[in-house]
Amino acid sequence: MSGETVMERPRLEERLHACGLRLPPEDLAPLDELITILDQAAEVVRAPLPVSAEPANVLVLPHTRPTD
Amino acid sequence: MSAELHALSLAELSRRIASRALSPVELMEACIARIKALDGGLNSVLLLLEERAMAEAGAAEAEIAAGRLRGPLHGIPIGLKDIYETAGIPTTAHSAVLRDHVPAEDATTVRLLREAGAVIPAKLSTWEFALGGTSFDLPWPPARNPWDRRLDPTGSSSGSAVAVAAGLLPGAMGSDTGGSIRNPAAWCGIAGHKPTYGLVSRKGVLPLSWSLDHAGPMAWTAEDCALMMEALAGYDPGDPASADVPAPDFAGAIAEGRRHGLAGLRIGVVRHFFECDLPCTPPVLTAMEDSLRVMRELGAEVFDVTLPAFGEYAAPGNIIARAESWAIHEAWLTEDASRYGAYGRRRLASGAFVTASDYLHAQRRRSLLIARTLEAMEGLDAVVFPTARGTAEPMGVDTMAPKGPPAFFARVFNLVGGPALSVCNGFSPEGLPVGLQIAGRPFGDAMVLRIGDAVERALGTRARRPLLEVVDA
Repeated sequence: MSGETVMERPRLEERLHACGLRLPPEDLAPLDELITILDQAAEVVRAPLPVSAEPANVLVLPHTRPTD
Repeated sequence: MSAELHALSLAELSRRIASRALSPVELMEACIARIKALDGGLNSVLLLLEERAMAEAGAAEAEIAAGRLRGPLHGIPIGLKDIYETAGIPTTAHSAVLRDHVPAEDATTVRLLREAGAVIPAKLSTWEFALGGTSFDLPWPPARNPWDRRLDPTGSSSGSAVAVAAGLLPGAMGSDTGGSIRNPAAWCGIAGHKPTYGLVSRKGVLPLSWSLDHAGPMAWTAEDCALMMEALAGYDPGDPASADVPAPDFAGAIAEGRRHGLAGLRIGVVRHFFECDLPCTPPVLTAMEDSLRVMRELGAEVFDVTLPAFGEYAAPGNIIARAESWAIHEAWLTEDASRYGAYGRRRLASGAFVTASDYLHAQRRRSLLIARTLEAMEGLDAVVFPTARGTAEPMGVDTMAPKGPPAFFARVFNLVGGPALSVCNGFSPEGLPVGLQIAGRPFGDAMVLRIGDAVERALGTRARRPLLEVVDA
């Protein structure tokens, strides 16, 4: 994630090329909005958590309990 | 379907087939006739399997006549969202990317439905790869809402919801990564059940997000969904997330509810979701209060509960969904992104910007959210809140657009993994359906469906169908 709220157009294009993506020019503005939303979501998930918090075990999600 | 048959629920059709008052062939003929008459204006069917379906209906009829009724789905037409793989039948995900994809095997759920005697007459439209939004730049047009064709059914299981609501088919399969069963169920006025994660196999269902994807039934009533769950629930070693647990007794739970109502049940109302976190429109709030009233009248203890704020679920949900969907689509997107529609292409591409660290922090936060949610639900049989903030919006309004508050409450139980059902709990003054969401603790699916059945019957919403006319496509 960029950490910026709005990515500069050349930087966005550079990142897309680095990912191997070739998108039409009309995609860049809407994509930038989507990335901004993800940046904001990333700020939320990066907020400090207890050290003991481990990633959800996605293969047994329903079995996850506070006491497990 | 004929004027009479199309208005019947899957459960009622099943009872008539079991008593031999209705033949599977007659039912299939009626479904196909109604699809041909009406779907030109609804676009719910991508591929009609007429010849094959009539042959299968004939085989079902012969088997039943010989005294070998397999169960409540025998001879029942069930449509499939076109991300369910079907042996020898194209499975396109409504995308040019998979226009020529013909799987060699049925998805596990398709096999289970067939073994239960269901007949598959159609592959149904979807948002592109269950993500892209209502799009006009794909090889096939988007489905339209049968309550008003100018309105969006939303998605991603759009064709499934439309086909059921329009009475083209009594049941259909959908998938739900962030509400894609429940959201269109709400806007189209039907029932849609997102099962507990791991209860219904996803093997052979094209993935969008491995840790958020759920496969589940969509039908006119909660009872119909329960009958479908009887066939669908169970352990599948072919799905790494499948839970090796006994399947709940869905039919028994519905019967229990019909005998005793909701007596003795404890139901939590997540009022802060719809009054503070994402305030709802007046029709949704009115329908919510009507639903709470009938739950109390049916004997339930109904009181407010507090879950983490809706926004706490939204952030990790977005990060996880986008990262996983990028991983799934990266090779195709980098090979030739132009084969995707614009909405799908942009949403999938955004996932390339999620870091591994952010993904893992989102999954860490998810663990804590699961724990906090289940702790808040301790001692409860279910929690309730609306499915959508309002009624259906016009075609062309992108409900997935990043600006503005979310239109739906669905992501919460994709993260938590517990069951969540949407049922129709009322109508706006304009006659558009409204949805109630009933969510439970993991593997509490039968209880959720029991409550949904009781609420539907008490509110009487199932007597009202959309009025449809034959229109040119």
